[in-house]
Amino acid sequence: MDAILAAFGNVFLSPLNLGGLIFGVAVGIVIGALPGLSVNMGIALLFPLTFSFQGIGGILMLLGIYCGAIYGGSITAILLKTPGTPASAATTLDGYPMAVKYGQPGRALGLSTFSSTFGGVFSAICLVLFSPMLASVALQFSKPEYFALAVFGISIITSVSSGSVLKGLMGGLVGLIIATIGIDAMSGQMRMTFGTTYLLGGLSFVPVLIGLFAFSQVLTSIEDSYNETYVKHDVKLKRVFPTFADLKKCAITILRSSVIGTVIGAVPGTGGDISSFISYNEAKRWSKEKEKFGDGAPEGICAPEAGNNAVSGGAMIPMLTLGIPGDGATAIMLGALMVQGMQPGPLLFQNQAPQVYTIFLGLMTANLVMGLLGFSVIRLFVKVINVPKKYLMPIIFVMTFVGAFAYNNSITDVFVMVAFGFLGYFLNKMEFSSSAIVIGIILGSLAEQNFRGALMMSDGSMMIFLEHPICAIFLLIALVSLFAPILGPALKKVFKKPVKQ
Amino acid sequence: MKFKKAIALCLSAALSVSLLASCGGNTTSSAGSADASSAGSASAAGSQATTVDYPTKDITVIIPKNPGGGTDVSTRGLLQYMKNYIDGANFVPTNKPDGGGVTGMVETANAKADGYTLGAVTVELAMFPHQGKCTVTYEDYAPICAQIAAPAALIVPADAPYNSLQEFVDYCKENPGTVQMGNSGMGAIWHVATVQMEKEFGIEVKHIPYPNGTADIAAALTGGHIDGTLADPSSFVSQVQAGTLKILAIMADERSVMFPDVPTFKELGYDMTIRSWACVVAPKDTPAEILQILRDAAEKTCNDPEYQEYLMNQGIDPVCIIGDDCYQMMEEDHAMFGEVLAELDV
Amino acid sequence: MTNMRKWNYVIAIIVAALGIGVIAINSKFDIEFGVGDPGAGFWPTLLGGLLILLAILLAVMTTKNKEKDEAKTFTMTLPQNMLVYKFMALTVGFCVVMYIFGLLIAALIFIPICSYMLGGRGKAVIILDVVFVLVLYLAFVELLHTPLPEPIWLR
Repeated sequence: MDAILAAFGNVFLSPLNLGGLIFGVAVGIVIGALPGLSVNMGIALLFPLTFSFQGIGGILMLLGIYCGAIYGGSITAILLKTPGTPASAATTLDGYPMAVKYGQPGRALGLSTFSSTFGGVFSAICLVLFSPMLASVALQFSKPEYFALAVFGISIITSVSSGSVLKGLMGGLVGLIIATIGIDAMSGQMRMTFGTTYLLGGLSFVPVLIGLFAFSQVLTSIEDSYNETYVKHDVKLKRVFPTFADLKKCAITILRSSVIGTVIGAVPGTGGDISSFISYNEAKRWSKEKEKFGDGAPEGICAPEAGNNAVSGGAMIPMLTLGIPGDGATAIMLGALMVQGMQPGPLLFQNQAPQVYTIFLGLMTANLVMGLLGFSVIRLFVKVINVPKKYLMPIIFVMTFVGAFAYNNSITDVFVMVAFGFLGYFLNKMEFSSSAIVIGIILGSLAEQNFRGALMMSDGSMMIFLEHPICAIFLLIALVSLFAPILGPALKKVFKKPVKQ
Repeated sequence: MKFKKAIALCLSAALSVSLLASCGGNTTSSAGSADASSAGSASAAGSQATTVDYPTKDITVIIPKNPGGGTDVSTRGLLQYMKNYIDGANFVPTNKPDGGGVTGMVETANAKADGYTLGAVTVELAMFPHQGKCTVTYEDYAPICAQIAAPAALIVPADAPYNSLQEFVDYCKENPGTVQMGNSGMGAIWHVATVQMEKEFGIEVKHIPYPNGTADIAAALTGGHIDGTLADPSSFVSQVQAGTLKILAIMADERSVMFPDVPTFKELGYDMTIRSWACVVAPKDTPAEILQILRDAAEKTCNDPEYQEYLMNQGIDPVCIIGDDCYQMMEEDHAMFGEVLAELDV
Repeated sequence: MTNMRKWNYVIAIIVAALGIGVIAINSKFDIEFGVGDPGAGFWPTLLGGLLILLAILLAVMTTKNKEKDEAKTFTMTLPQNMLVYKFMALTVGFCVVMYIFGLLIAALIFIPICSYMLGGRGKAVIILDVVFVLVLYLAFVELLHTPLPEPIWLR
């Protein structure tokens, strides 16, 4: 009990700590919104600040950045079709149409803010109540399970390809091939590097993302702007909080996505990008209005946003209970905790309960602060879609260069970004789906490395995939979801005949 | 016409901004350096008479790894504490992880040798040249200090049927090719260490790569999916302290400060030392006086108890390898990996 | 106006070529089954093969669904496309200027040009340009210490 009281004191009674937390959330939202600035970079940059904070204050600030950054990406995803972080790529699918095509940016941002906050708070509650249980589930994951998860993710390609499924699959394959460039970690060989040093590390993902989404969107907007008359949208919002009708419609989606995000966050090595796409896919699968997805469906915004923010609490589960980080950002946080003298792992709850409860409370508070800040700036942000293209496009143009360079301090990344920008412009015209390519890149190494790794463990026997129950189940679901679009109508035809008579 | 005038204005503004930008680094610290240099030379006079006014502007340090990884954290930590020992020093760490780290290391080697661009290099510098992945070697640098030299530790689950190195080796001999040892990638350092161990003891194990780092190996070990690993212990500290994993032996010259009960391979009669190190280096032709300032500061930092505590909290054993010792370490490792990798054919 | 049908064939050919290329590049790696890791060449070869398969499928489907694809049209050579292509050339120019003079100067020069091409005129553009570049400089170089591409004489 004293520990919990101490935690309250740490978070709320210390103005420095609370201020740091709020500052962190604000900074996080900005970092998340700008493509190219990643969570890891933001946390690493402010890491030295944690030295000057007394005790747990620095950690609270890092928690704020972590939560804020995951949410921030959705703002640019919805307003400009350019995801600020990879975890918000799925939000562009329905967020941008709702904001621009249907002229409802406030509704889109409101749904996104609400879902993000809910996902974050839900995962924070899971962290408090179910850590040991979820941690032991996470430990069950070995190479076959990771492979099955990747295959499951790849099967999403068919559902995000709103144009032509065939071309979506092609895009996905191209993404998978891009992921093979570089040093092959399973054999030490260099693949498709063409003798260059740059390709030794593979094509950097974020510049490709910025090029495919942001830069190609600039080109498409320029095309659309030709001879276009300037239409000022009415963006005076009566309310920023989602309507009751919207919430009722999306309630189950938000809940389901939060669960997905928490579980995927808890599995080490997987993060917000994977969980946002899987949440989107599941939302589409269980929806009665599948056709609306990709064209401004509210569930299409709620699902990925709840899914990616729920990873925040989920990733902290293995970090705190096992000392094993759940994703890249928690790896840095682990270091920060250790600097403060905390020893995350099985002994943490016994030895340092007050600090642990402070983190719990801090995470929950960070998510709530994020929601508050988000709602309060929606009215400001929606004005962006009224900025004339002649002023907005040049700015976004320069920002894509800044983002692509800032990611790795590499000029070559910038050229890669431009190349993919040009490519993306043509691909969008010809019914290809950029999201499919992105999913391929994200999941490529996960799928291949774990497939080969599993075979190494089993000495070449493919039975290992069936012997692991979690893996077998995932593979089965993936197979079903891949063939359901084809088998579904066929089965319906078979069953309809008798009813007609 | 008005518009074209405006563009001309723009271009002149552009030129002035660029001049501002290039002087910006100087102007911000030149105000401070006037005070700092007098104070600096006063304190430096205590250690030695410096004739060079260093540093007068920001020092860029190129880190060839992603933010948050072991190399990044330990380098940033070293720089943070080194700042206290050099007046007026402002280190600006910059991450350049592309090209597998090679691009960053090459850039450091080719940078202007004026002491304002430093870099970090990792043990891969000793390995990549032999694999045709890298054109620079240790000879292209003047090392300052090694902030981390993590030895390979033999880590197994606590309930494994072997409690010492010898028992482990015997078990492997009885069950050839079935003991699964995790590493961080084929051809990478911990795989090489495991292969060396196989050769030394005449055993055969199964190598299972976990390319995303030692944290994944820790998860796999704790979950019981593999039987052991040879890797640096920093990712495994909390599990070892909690009793879920145990360390059987460590490939270091002396016993680890954090795990004083663990014998070294040397003590047990096997002269094997494989470490994953990272060093802060300067380009090869950097003036000797500047190097001396940096090396002195680094030495004081390594002996600073606060810094040592910082390292131990991260699970890293504090080391103090400065200047020529560092060069020797890089040279020895370069030769060693040359032999090993040639046999391995990776 | 051009229709999807013609371009589908082009896409099929390009994708098939890509697939063949991937298989060819990765043919130097051995593939063996049954003893653990199938080898570095396995996965890329599989993917290349699938690409070729899909390309053939696309060509077949396009031949079957004549009307459906001809109905899908898009533009490639109308004035708005020309604007985009001009913009692409501008981008290449920007890259060159950025490489030589650094990002800040390149931005300073190109923002007015971009805006002009989209119909922006007058003082508002110049003010926007200078303010934006100033903000970029303050935020990224001074505040965050994240370097931006530098002029060639500073490297």
